[in-house]
Parts: sequence; structure tokens; C-alpha cells
Amino acid sequence: MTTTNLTDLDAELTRFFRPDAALMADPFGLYRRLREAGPAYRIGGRVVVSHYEAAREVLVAPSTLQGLSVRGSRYRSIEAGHLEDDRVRLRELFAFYEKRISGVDGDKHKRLRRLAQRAFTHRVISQMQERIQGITDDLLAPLAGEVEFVEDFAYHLPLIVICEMFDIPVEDRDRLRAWASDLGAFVGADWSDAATVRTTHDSVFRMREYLTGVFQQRRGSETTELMQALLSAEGDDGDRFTEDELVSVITQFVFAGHETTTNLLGNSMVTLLRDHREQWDLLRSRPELVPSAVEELLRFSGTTQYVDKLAEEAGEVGGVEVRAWDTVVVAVAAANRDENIFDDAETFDVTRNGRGHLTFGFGPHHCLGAALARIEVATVLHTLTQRFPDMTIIDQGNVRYAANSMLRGPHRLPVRLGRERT
Amino acid sequence: MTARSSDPRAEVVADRNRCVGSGNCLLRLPDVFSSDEEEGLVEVLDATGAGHRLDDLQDAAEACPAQAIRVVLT
Repeated sequence: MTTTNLTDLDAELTRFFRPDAALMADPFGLYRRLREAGPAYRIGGRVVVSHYEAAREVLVAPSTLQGLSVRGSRYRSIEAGHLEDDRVRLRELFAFYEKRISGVDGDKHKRLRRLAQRAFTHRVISQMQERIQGITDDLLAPLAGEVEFVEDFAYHLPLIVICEMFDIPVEDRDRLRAWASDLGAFVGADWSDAATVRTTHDSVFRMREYLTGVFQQRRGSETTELMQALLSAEGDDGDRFTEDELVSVITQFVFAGHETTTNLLGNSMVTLLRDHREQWDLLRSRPELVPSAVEELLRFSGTTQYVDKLAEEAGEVGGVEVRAWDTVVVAVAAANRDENIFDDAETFDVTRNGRGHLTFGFGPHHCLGAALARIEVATVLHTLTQRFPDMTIIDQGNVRYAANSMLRGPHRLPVRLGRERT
Repeated sequence: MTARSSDPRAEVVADRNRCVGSGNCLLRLPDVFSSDEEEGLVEVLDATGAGHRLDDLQDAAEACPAQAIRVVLT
């Protein structure tokens, strides 16, 4: 057991949750110190879980609920500090978050999930594969020389895919992106900040209004097969999505389906081009390693750093006492480097299969879009290593990360594509 | 744990009611597990898991986030 100065660990964790862009460039030292401190660690009203087994335990436990809830002590402690108008906004925001598939639990969750699942069957996703390659090729076609990887490429691909799947006008994607990133940032934000509450409230309701408009047009007219399936999706006993649920669900698809994948693409480039160039070259010469590389990238450089859960009752996690309505922060990115589970866990190796990682979560809320994300990243890796084998990051020492502790990724990544091979 | 799953005493059972369509099982053992076209939920192609080690079957069961797969020894 290494002795970690707990006061330092507290300070570092406080900085992590603030969040802090510089720390997000490399949070892995913090994760190591957390694991050394034990399976779980309390800081204020949060219990942070960093060991793999304990993380999995929490994710499957029926007594832990999805994290964004007005029942949580984190919510209750900040609510009173807001002015009345902002308090109303905050409540409306939470009402929205609590309605998402990933905001509900138990039977309610099961029902929504079953209906939504139809959009992500193996068949639907494999049908998208060809389009994903097509969109990738179209996005790359005009690019040459120096390119901003995130702005010129990585952000577009997942969002275009989602738009095409759900028949949302692709040309509106800049607006969707802005709304969705506000939504995403809120999850890990300081909820006592009035400006954050106002911005997020505004974005959520604009996005809902926009999507409601789109779906009203689609109902009863010609649309994609998938959208048709969702509009008419029936579960047991003729159960259907209500209009409101459908908008919530698609809002979530847009949010969950783009930033996570955009960041994963960015993280993958940094890991392969800056930190492990030899493995980029290996993927170039052995493209059959791409699926295994995707799993290893998900394990080692995944986007999602942690998942917030709420303890419904008092108990204990990894030897740490949990009070009812504490937030249990399941640090999946820390658990993914748990030496008890993965040999040489801190070593990146595309030839190992990194599967078993918790980046898509575990339990009933396991990521609905996992197969889609896998195909997107595999397509991009395969295409880029073959077409631009000499690609490099410009100014490698200066890769900037977004100040988001939950979803990690570079927000600017200038690259030089190099000579194109055909 | 050296028993082979082709041993008739191992049987793979999947509970579609629990399944969340993660695909973790079919990524590992695509000739044992599949998913249906409409709902995207697990289907067992080969309940005996022929040609796979018992360990591998148990790994696939362990990898299920919904705990929907069991390997029953009879």
C-alpha cells in the first residue's frame, strides 16, 4: 500500500470535479492515487468508486438509482441557494433529465429501453455501416494538409450519422451540437451557478421545441425506416412511445450519440499519434487488429470518466459508508486501469483485447449505442491509417482538453494529414 | 475448469426479459449467441456451446451487463 496524502487527494478531487481543463489532459495519476487509497473514497456528499469489482457492483445494484435526481442530496443542498426564477428553471431541467431513458429506473426504464432498443438492433447498425464509411469518405474528401481534427471531422461524423438515422435535417447540426453540448456539460457542472442553469435550461427547451417540430412533420409522412419503426414501435400490449417520451429519447440519442464518440475519436488520435505512434503504424500494416484496438482505446482512452449514481438507501461501498441520497461516482476510467483485472493495466496495447472495460457502463443502463460507437471508431481508424499513414499531431505538447470531468476529450486537435495513399 | 463445453452437461441459457442488447455475448462468441432483428435481444444459437471451453462460456455470461446469461451444469 502506497501512502497517499489524503489532504492532497481531496484537493485534487475537488479540482477534478470543478472541473479543470489542465487536469483533464491527464487525470490518470489521480485515478491511480484513488485506487491506491482503496476501492472507494468519500469526498463531501460524493463517494468515488475506482476499483473494478466495486464499480461493477454499484452499476448492477438495484438500490443505486440514476444520478441526476431532485432526490439527491447534491441537488437539495444547492436548490435553496437559487433565486425563485432559477429554482423553477432548475426543477424543470431536472424534470427533463429524470425523464430520459438514462434518468429512470426499474420498470419505467425497462419499458422505454425496450422501445428504444429497436433503433439499435444489430441489423439496423450493420445497415448503417456502409453509410458510416460513405460519410467518413465525404468528410475527408475536401481535407488536405493541416486540418483541425475535431472541428473539421470528428464532430461531424457521429452527428451526421444520428441525424440520418432519425431523419433530422443534417444542415441543422451546428444548432443541435450547441444545445447538446450544453446538456452534456450540465451533468458535471456546478449546479449552484445561476448562469449555467439558465444556459442549459434555454438549450434544453429550444432543442425540445426543435425536435418536436421535426417529429410532428414526420408522423404520417414519408420518413426513414428506422424513424417509422420508432414512431410506431409497440411493446407488450400495444404500448407506444408518447410524443413527449419520443422527444426525450431522441434528445438523448443526439446528446449521447455525438459528444461521446467525437471525444473518443479525438482521444484515440492523441493516444495513437502522440503517445504510441508504433501502434498506429501497426494498425496500418495489420488492419485486422482494428476491432481489438477499438476495445483497447475504449478501455484506455474512453470518453466517459465516471457515471453518477444515487444511493437510495444507506449502505456501504468498497468499505466506505454511504448515506441515503449520496452521489456514488462510479469512476469507470479509473476502474478500466485496475491492475487486479487487467494485466499491465497502465500499458496501452492494441493487440490485447481491452474488452471487459466499463466505458459503456454495466447493468441495465449499459450504453444503447455501444455497437454504433464501435463501428464508427473502427471505420475511422481503418480509413485514416490506410489513407493517411503519415498523419501527425501539430504541436503535440499543446493538445488542449475541454474542462469537463465526465466526458474527456481534446477540444482542439490540429493535425497534418500527410501524403494521401490510395 | 478444464471441462469442455461440448460436454453435454453444460447448457447456455439466456433470459430475453433481462437482456439489454449490449452485444457483449455475441462479440465474444458469435457462433453461440446472436440477437433478433426486431428487438435486438439475445438469442442462443447453440445452447451446448460446441467447440468452446467452459471457461469461455462462463466469461461470456460474466460479461453480460444485464446478468441475462447463465451456464447451467446439469
